[in-house]
Amino acid sequence: MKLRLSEQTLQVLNEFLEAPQDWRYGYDIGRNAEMKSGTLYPILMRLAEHKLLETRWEVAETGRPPRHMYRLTGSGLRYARAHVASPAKPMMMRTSLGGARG
Amino acid sequence: MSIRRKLALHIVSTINRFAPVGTAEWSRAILCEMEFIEGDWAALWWALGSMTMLFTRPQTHSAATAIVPWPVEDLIRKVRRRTAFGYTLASVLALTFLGLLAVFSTFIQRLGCGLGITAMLYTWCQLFALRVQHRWTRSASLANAAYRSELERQRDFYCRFSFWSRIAIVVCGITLICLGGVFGHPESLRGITFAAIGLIGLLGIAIWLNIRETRQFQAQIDHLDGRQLPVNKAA
Repeated sequence: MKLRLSEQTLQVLNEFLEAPQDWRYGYDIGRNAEMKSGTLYPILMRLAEHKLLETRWEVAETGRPPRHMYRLTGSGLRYARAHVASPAKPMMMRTSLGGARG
Repeated sequence: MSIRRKLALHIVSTINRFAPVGTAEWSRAILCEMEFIEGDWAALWWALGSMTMLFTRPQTHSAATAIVPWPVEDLIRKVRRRTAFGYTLASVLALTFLGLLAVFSTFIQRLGCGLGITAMLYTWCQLFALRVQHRWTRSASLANAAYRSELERQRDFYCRFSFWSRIAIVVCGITLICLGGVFGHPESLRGITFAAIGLIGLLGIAIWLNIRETRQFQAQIDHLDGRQLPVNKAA
């Protein structure tokens, strides 16, 4: 399966690398990476499809909806570290279903 | 709540409703996230940006390992809408058949109307049996197996014996009404033929809508099972 490593994807990966162990919210990532939801969420979807990103729902206090949270998986971290360091230009990277080559 | 915020909520809710099945979780995430955005303009931009979710097609679907509250809420909302619409439609049609029972003069036509009324009462019973149950609303989430079994029950309303028995009774009723009209009033054959063609068309639409609903429920079940799915839930 192919993951398109665009400039925006690299930005998102970079954002995750700022605090790799923390769970992040979509809006916060979008705001920090200066990205609209229409750009951000398809990237998050693709990362999750490639098992580079794990997701969970955080149940908020009463009266507020649950919140979707994101964090890079182990293979996601390796992948991000391998590619964010040299984000020269958009490219096509081939990854396996279970993880990423890094 | 400001107009901009209302508009944003409306946009995201609509997108959430029509999002492809594999992206449902993500469009739901956008909707939930909007509750935490403070500025109205920011919320509106967030909502407008999420429109791309309608055109995003997932390549695979992961297994749903945990049930979160939103699928249950969605299911409850959908079943409530379906039940209300079904009761209304069945009542209107039952009253129409009742009215025709008084108008028609031949026995065959009256028998057809009787079958039509029976079909509507039968539909009422099915809707009542599959209404939203209290145990759904009591719990914020259902266990995986329970949620799956509810999806199967709801899917079966649109297919198998439950659906085809309804259709069979209605078709028999309408056929008898048409035959009774032809035998009782041969001069109105042309009008009855047009009416029959129209009814066949409506029947075709009804079958198509039911098949579509069946597929949507099946897609949700498959998604839950983590199977590979076709990308378009409304296919």
